[in-house]
Amino acid sequence: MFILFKRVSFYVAIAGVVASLYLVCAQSQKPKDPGPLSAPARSPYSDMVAATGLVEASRENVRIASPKAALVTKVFVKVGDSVKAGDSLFQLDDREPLARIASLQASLTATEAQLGIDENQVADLADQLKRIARLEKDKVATEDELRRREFGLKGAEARLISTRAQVETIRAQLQEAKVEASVLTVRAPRDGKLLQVNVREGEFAPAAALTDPLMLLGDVDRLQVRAEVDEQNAVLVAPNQPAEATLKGNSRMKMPLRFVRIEPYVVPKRSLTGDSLERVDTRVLQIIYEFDQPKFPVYVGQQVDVFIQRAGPIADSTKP
Amino acid sequence: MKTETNGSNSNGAASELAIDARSIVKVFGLGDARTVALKGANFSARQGELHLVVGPSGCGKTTLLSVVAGTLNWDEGKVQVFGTSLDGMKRSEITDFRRRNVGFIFQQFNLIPTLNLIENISVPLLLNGIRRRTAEDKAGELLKRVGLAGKETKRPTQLSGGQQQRVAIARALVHEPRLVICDEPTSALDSETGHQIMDLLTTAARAPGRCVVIVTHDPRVYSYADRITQMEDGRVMAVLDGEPLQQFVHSTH
Amino acid sequence: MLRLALKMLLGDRAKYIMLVGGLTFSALLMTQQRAVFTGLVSWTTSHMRNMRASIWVVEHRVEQVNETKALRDTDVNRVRSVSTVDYAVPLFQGVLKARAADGSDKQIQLIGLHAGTLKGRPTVMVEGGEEGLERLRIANNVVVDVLASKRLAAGLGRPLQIGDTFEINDREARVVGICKTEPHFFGYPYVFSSYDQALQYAPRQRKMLSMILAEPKEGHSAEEVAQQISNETGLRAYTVPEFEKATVDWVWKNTGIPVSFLTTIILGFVVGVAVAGQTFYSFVLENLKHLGALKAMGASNGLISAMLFVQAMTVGLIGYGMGVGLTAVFGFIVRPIGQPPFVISIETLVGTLFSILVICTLAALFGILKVARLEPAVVFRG
Repeated sequence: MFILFKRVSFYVAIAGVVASLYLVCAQSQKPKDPGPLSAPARSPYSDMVAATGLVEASRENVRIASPKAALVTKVFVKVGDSVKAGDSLFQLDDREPLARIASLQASLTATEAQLGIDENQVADLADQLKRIARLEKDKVATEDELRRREFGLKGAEARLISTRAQVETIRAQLQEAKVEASVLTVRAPRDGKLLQVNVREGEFAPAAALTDPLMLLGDVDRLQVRAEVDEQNAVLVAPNQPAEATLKGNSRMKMPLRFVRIEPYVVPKRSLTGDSLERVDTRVLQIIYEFDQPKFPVYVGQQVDVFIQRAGPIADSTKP
Repeated sequence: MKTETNGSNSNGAASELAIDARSIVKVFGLGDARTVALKGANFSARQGELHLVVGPSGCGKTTLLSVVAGTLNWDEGKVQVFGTSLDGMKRSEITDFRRRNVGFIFQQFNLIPTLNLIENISVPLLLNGIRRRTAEDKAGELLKRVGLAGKETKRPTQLSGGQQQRVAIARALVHEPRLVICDEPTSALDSETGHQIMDLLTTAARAPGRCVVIVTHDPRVYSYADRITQMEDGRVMAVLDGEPLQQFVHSTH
Repeated sequence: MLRLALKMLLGDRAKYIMLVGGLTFSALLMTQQRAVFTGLVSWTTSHMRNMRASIWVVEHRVEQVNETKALRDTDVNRVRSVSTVDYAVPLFQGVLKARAADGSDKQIQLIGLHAGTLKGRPTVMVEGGEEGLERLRIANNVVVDVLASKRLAAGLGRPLQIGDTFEINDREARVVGICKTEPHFFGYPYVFSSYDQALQYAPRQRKMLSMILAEPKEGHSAEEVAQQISNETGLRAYTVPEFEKATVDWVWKNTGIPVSFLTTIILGFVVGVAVAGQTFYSFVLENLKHLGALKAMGASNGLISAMLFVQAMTVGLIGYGMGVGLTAVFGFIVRPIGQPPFVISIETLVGTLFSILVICTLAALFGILKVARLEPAVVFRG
């Protein structure tokens, strides 16, 4: 054995083995898993259902629409304004109904004047008839004169009724025109805050339900979370289970949730990736939770990770 | 398991005989290639003698030597070496026997060229399980005895033919074998060197209980023989002793 | 005697060099080819070293990491809902076209990381550091790997730097960091963005979520959690070793690469057997006279066999050491370049050692058969 120690080849071979073993060690070392850069959202419950939620106003937002396709002439509010029920929001072009009101007003005045004339005439003819009737009894006037007076009165009375009806008609038309004009002023249907204003003076407002409403009115004093649970996990959810929400991208911002209701209808999920195109992916069960305003700001439309404690034991899980 | 090969516990006339081979028949090959090398050869050598086997080429003397040295199987006949019968011995037993009791000297010396002299000489001791240190000391002693002191670490190729054959003799004797088999030990050497070698071998043969058998056709060495066995055509023709031996030695000079 | 056997071997310098040389070449061929093959195969799983996560959840038909069958967005929440999952995040993975400065199109491997956690983020940042990664959360920001910084810089005259822009699918991408990655089998450079940003870059599809990365809760093993995810969601959850194995198996089953490398490795073995066997046999033949003399002097067949065996094993081990040493030298040279793929594993080293020992055993056996049949009397016919 020892005579090998005198050989260069022996040491070269040993060096070769050592070098290759070193390379094996060097190559088997990979950089450590750097882990997540910020702490991920973790569930406070051992058995839970995870969901994605969206913060919304506690009463559903009102998407203000135009009653009529018309030009917007005036916008009374701006984004963020608080409004009371009945406050004007924006004005549609109302020149045409106003003109009609003016013309109707004029013809009403004229017709009312005519009504006065007609009433006068009836009174005059009735008086004449009374006198002629007395004269005829005294045989001072002929029966022919009496009859003529009678017919004259009847004709005048008929004219009076017609004119009166004409006045009523014009009044009704006037009322209609006024209503029409008032509808063109769009008012807040309830108290709230304007979350979006997508209309500006001089724009044309179509009379249709739009993807982006003209204005979005919501109640931001009390917010709620609409959590979406995959339909396959729907069986794991029950009312009144504790739940917690974490702001997306910031797992330290936690909010305890109170159960409000489960929406009874399972709806197609809207992708919340921020893409404008809607991609129907799966159907989801929506659950509404309310929460108290936490110390940090929460805005309507913000995404949250929701963890809901499971109702049943794990054994109830959906085994495929 | 080892065969008791020590001649001292044999008795009677057999103890005088180092080798007793009777009616040896050896056939090589089969069919047309069949040649009978030994045709019932009888051969015996005594202890303490230097015994020459001579004869023309192809007479079967090397085959006979191979048989009595235990290196070749034979077909018929009986072989006894120092009272131990080699008949029917297993191959491994014969190997053991050779290792202990036989020393070999070859015409071409057959020293291992990559080993130095000490290592070459110590091979038989190492084969017998002697520790290296002891074996090398003994080898050094033998090297001195053959007159090559100071050349311990030389390689065989650095020596002359005569020196190499001396190393071979040292190797053959180092484990103190009772039988030394020599195959043409002087054929490759000049006569001066040949005589020196034969002197060494004669000395070796005088050791008690030893027998040196030399196969040769070199007439220069006949004068060293105690007895000569003459062979021809696979048979032993004559065993020369005393006066006939002297006559034979003179006749060949 | 074994010592003398070694001396006999080492003393014959020419034969020794030839024997060791042949075995060195054979060991080099087998080790180097196996290392390149292992490296190439390892490139197919480089995703799992470039994006780090314990559990990879994919569609249940996905067989390997480079294959994507999109999941539904809500599947992330279904995985999160599994009780032993600590957390789970979405990952986008796709090959997209990017436009370099000179207007040429290059394929890139776009990775979309969950913006909140940036789970699966690059392990080594060359430039930009963690701040660069943080800036991935801002629209249109990307982190590119070194390869991308070179490839997408065509026409720029220098590699991309922080602040440079290029286009992915006609959208602007601003470099906020440069990272180091392991090269991928497909050769595409890596570009990292946030998941949401990746969806903006990628062409619209109904389902965009490629994979979900998950971590087990403390006290649960990855295997156990992966199994539970698979059972409860019907998706396929792999741990990293499982996914690596599945991917490598896929490569074996579906590509011709292993066969071609196997051929070379077998060739190395055959060359080894031929050269070493041949040389050793001629070494034995040359020494036959001496071996015969040893036999005559009483060396048993067992001893002679042991001697030949020691000789064969010595040249084998020396040749092995030199062969793997040369492979290591090759490895040290190519490692900084990253081309060709090169991963030398302990299995490779052991495999080569085993092959070399087999070669030497065969060579020794040839010699032993020859010597065993040798009559010791042959030495008298000289």
